[in-house]
Formats: sequence, structure tokens, C-alpha cells
Amino acid sequence: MTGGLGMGIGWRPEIDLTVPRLPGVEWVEVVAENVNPDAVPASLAALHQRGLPVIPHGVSLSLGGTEPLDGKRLARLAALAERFGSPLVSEHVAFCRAGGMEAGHLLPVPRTRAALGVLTENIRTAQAALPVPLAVENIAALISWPEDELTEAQFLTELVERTGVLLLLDVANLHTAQVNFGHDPIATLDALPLDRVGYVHVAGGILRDGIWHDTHAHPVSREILDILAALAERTALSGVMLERDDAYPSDAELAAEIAAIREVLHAARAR
Amino acid sequence: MRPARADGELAARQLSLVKALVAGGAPPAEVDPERVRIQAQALVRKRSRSVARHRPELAASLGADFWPAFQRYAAANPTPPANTPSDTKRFAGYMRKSRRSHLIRLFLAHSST
Repeated sequence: MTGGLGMGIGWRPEIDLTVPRLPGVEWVEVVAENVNPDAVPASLAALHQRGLPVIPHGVSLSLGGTEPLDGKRLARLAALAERFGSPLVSEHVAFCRAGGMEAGHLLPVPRTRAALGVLTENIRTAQAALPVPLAVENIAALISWPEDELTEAQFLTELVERTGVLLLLDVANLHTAQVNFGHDPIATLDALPLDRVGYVHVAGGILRDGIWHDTHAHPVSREILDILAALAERTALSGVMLERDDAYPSDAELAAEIAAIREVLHAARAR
Repeated sequence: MRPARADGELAARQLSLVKALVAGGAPPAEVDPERVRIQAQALVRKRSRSVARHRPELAASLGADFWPAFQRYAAANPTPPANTPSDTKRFAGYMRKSRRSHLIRLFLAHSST
């Protein structure tokens, strides 16, 4: 990594006392839905006070949905970005509700021209409402649509070209796409505008009956670190972070996972 | 402006997937039904983890029965409530009710002998 954010971690209330003790953590990401901009938890406010950048990450804006964006969710992302003076805000290339029903999950949009149109419009709306740049993330999918017309790389590239949006590249989700749909992560990396990557997610998951589940509750496996290495060899990354949302390991194990990510980045830079 | 007709089709496809996942609907046409089932189960698993985090003592009191019990509860309540606290409350209510019916069955079986 050259300059930029450096090494980060997903701040969660369950590990709020661990995060400040982890060596080499230079920034945190917070789930926007779980942090009230007017009542920021003291442990998070203290980290921010110490100068750590805080990036709000939305999980329910439904940028890929055909219904109008929810102004309240958008306003909250904007308010968090203001509160923390965040360098950027992130969300997903996904939909999570339809017909007034919540899926409770990030679901893939069909990679069609029509869906590109909807995403383009929603991303532009979000960009206009946010005080800082927006980055959108490739999701971990279990389902694919028969009507897909574009590859994931083509689809994301189109979004970048149409809206100027940044990418939040999740290397674990590239691995998910490989296991679940046979998409080669290296081919995806080679087809993406990597100079538009705002930051990178790294997370663990588990293989269950031949399907990869991106749980954020298991250790980061070698294949995922290998994709990160391939990415770091191709471009200078501004920020890379570990996502852990459940089954929290000991502080030492979390520190070791961060060290392993650092090691991969260091080795890739040396090559 | 959005191309209205293409949007309508996209909206219908999205709605059919969401219905299949949380409202007992049929999987969208030509989407692998097995994957839809796995996605629905992943959603239930995610709900169970959130509930366990929200009330760890409730999950702990059920031990190894927590996950099977949550699956039974979710099968009876496929539409997830708006948030984890309401999901937890509903799950706790479901468990109280099923424990009560279990006790009643035990009592009746006992009194008939």
C-alpha cells in the first residue's frame, strides 16, 4: 500500500475494546445501520478522536432495487460521513427488498442492461446526496440469474464508466464467485479498472456442500489471501481491511489475521 | 429516464426472488431452485446468529438445540421481522409456546396412565 488508508478492520460493538489494541490498525469501517450519527458509541468516538479515519458502510440502501432509494437511509450515510469527516462511503451492487418486503440479505441483480440503468440512476442519486465519494462493492452471491448478459467485471466497469463511482473490491466475494459459479477471480481482476478501487475487503467463509458461504465468522483462508496477492501485484491499494462479524476469535488470532494480510501486501509489493 | 418496460420485468424478477426467500413463494423461473433453497437457509442461519448475539443467554440455554429449534421457528415464520430485537422476541415466544405444549403433552400422557 502506498499512502492512503492503510490497514483497517470492521469496527463492531462486540470487539470495540479489541480494535484499539490491535497492532497496526490505521482505520475502521462501521456498518451505517448500526451507528447512530447523533449517538456514536464512546469507544468509536475515541478511536476517531485519536485520528483514525472512519468509513461508513451501508448494507440496506438497495442500489440495485427498482424502487426509489430510501431518503432516510441515504441521509444517515451522509450524516455519518459528516460526523466522521470520512474520506468515502460505501454500499453494495445488490438489492435487498422488493414490493415492500425485506429480504434481510444482499441479493444479486441480474447483470442486464436494464439493471445497469437502474443502478446507474440510483448511484447518481446517492452520489448527489453524499458529501464524499461513493464506492460500491461486489457481493457474495449464492444465486445467479439466467438472464445475465455481462460478466461481473463488465458490469462493474460499466457502472464505473457511467457514474464515476469507486469500487470496494471484496476478494472473498471473488472467491465466492469462483466456487459458486466458476468465475475465475484473476480474469475478473484483469478486466476491472483497478485504478478505481477505493479499498478492499478481506473476510473468511466456509465451504458447505460445495457452496461457499461468506460468513465473516471463519478465518481467512489461503485462496482468499492469494486473490489479494494477485490484486496487490496489479495495483497500489489505498486501503485493505478485515471483516469479522461473528464467532469472534481471541485478540491474538485477530491480530494474526491482520498480520497475515499485511504480509501478503508486503510480499506483493516486493515482487 | 428508466426504460419503464424493462424495469417492470426487472422488478417482477426481483419480487419473485424475495417472495421465494421470505414469503414461501415459488423460485423465480429458470433460477436454480436448489440455490434458492440454500439462500433461504443461509438467511435463516444469519437470523439465528443475530438472535444469538442479541440474547446470548437464550441461545446458551438451548445449547445444541438452538439451531434446530430456530429452524423450526423460521419454518413457521419465514418472513423475517423488521429487526433482530423483534425476531428474538418472537423466537422466545415461540419457544415458550412449544415448551408449554410439550409440558401439556407430557402431563396428559402421564395422567392417562
